[in-house]
Amino acid sequence: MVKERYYYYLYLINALINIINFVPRVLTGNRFEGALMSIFVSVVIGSTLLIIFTKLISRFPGEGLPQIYADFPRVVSIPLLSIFAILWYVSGAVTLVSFVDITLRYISPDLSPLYAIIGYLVLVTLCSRLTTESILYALEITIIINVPLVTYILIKALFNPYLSWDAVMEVITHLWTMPKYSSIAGATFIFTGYVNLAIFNRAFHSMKPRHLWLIPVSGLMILLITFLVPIGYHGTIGVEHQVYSWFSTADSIRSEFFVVERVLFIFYFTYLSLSLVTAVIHWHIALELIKSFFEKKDKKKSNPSSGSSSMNSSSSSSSSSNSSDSSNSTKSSNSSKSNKSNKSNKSNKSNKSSRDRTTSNRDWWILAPMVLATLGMGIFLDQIKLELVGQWFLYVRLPGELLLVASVFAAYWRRKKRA
Amino acid sequence: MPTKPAEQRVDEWLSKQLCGLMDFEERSLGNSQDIKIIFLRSLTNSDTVNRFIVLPSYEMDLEAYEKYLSTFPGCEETQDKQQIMEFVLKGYIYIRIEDSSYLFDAMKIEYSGITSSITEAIVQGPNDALTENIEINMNLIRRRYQSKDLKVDAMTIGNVSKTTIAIMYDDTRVDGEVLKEIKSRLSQVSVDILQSAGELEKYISEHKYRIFPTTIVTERPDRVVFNLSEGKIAILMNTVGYAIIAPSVFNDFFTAMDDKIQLPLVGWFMKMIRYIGLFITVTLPAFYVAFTSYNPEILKVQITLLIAGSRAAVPYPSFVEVVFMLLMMEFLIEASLRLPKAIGPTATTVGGLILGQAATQAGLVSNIMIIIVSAVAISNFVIPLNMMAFTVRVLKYFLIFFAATFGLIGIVVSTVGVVMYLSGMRSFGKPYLKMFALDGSKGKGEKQNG
Repeated sequence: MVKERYYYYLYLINALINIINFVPRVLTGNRFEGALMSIFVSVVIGSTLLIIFTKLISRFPGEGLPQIYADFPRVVSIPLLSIFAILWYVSGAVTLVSFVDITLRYISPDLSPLYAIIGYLVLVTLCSRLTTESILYALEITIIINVPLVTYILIKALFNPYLSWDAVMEVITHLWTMPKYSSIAGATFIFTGYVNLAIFNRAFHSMKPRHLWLIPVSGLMILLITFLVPIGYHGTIGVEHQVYSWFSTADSIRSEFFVVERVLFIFYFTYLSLSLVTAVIHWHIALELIKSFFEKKDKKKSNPSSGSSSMNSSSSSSSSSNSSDSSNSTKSSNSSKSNKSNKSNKSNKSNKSSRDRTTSNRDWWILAPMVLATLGMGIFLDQIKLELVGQWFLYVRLPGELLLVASVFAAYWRRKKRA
Repeated sequence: MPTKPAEQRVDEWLSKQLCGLMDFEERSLGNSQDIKIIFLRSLTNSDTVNRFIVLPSYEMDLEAYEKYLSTFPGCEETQDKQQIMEFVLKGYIYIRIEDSSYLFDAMKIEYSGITSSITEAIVQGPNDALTENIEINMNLIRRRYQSKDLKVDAMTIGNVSKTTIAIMYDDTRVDGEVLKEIKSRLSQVSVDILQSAGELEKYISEHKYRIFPTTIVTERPDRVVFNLSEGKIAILMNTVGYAIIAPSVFNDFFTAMDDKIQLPLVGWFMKMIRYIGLFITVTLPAFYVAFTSYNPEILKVQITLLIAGSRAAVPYPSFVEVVFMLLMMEFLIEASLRLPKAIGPTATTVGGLILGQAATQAGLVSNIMIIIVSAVAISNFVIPLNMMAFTVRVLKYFLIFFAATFGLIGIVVSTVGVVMYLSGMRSFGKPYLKMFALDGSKGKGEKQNG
């Protein structure tokens, strides 16, 4: 079980990573057609969804989406879970593939795209099989190392004399324009970190995050910076020529007193580590969702007695960590549960190794198509197609998010009615 | 009487088993020669035998002698053949008085006295190191940790060496789950000879192929005490001057015992220095490879030109240069470790002067490479615990490999990979790498309250 601060990390990494996922591209594309208004609208929509979902999922302590859907008939739950698994997979894949594009464009033009994507994929697939808690710990370290660098770059960017405030002011004059759906769908992306709770809720003991007001405030700031700073650097018209407008912006900044002179490189490596971790998070969720299809069958077959639905039996280390964590709180309310899980652990010990092997094999069978599809995306998508895929992902994501919140609400309602 | 023949069989059996040994002794004592003693001379203290066993046997009658013997703390009565054999091999004396047989503790233990610690030196603070005698080690620890909650469980490991190990923990602070895990793993260890803490550490750790240590091996009783107070478990071994502390997480390996002695701000600074040292020693050679061979444009122009100028005479790629120099450094460290003290300085002179000065002049390596190698070596020594320092020595080659194949991207990706790998590791159920590692204990307290 982890502490609540990890909830903010999940939000923060998505808010920071929006630059890779074509959010500034969508926003600057609509800069005269209500992008600014859509930012304000999406802060309201995004934080409302975030608060509702957080409150809802806190009623299911220690449960992931598959367990929450357990009340639904399988005809409903499996399609829903498949949709979400695909969405999460695409989210990770778009981040990775667009980062390969960025790598080739800005850092190593002579590197084969295949090498780069294989390098990223090896890391992401290996790491997405880690336990949920481990990924959260790694996330915390990555965020804490990288956020100072991001802050440094932002301060550098904002206090640069070459930032044209006139261009920014000109875009602000278009504030009172009706926003389009596309820009709202893009701008709400930065609040999407909360949906990761769908699996990561398993690691949380209780979810009562304080200082929730920080999220809309910081979200608004991040969105305004994401949108306005590139305009200030490239001009109101020039900005539309940039695909990765933030990378071009970072390339316009110079750090005079550091060994690395071009801020672009600091920016690139910061975002490389952040986006790798995001991809790991998203693929971990996709993997866990798909795995849950098989887990139910397993449970019916082998041990119907084990009531430890929250235990992800993916690996021995996860179960041992879970049991040790729950032993800390044996005096508290879930003592019966932990005892049960310990017992089931013991009874399973004999056939544990063989089951471990089968689950690990299954992980690879699930990951293999994901890897192959991403490789295909990396090879066949050129920059224009990739941008289109990225934008379509942003458009589809918002209804998907609404569906997720609605279905969790339905599950909550069903459970309450039954109780 | 059915017991008597069986009784005689025990001491006859014993003398038959041991009679070939050079140091085997069998004597009959007492005025009537009714008392029989069997022992191994090399393991027993002859003074004890003469004063407390031989002499009194002539001064009192059998009954009084038997009572007299049983009052000694290390003396017990037993009929178990196997136990008798074991104890005689440990240095006990087997005494038969008519029907009953006794084992009398007359062990002679040779050990070096308490010395000051060598492998973990500190500036200020206690200097005692653990000795090779478990009783003295327990004395050293108990003296520093005077609590009734300090529990000690004994165990024997090794089919031949019969090494006694003691599991020490504070009953009120230890995590019961971890304790159970450690005990069960210890009970599964089955080896013939156990002579070092490192071996035992290997047998009880989770994975065979891993490079990061999950238990601390220390020779400082104050570190043991400090960790006991944090709810950890210490395993002491007889005949070994080191203790194993489990579970140990990444941060523990960067804690020196000085940190407590320093002022808080200075202590934090020292810790930060160690982490910076870790970063430099692991990444610097990899960065050199990446900057010279892949992305020279990232650095400032002046620095790039400086490196290129210094490398002008070097005839091969930077990767070969780095690996060549680092291997030389490893040889130098390894050689000065094993050399006798008298010729030790020769190695450093030959290595430092000839390799450093002549290699650059011959154009085999660049000047900057020499600086990097020394920086890597020095910053590696900053890590306070040896096990981790060795791990880091290996780790940097891993990064150099990725830097040589993928350039800077390889470094960042493999660094993220290492962080992920470490976060995925568990030391007896405790997360190995975690920011703010201390809040684990705080969180535990909160949970118990709530």
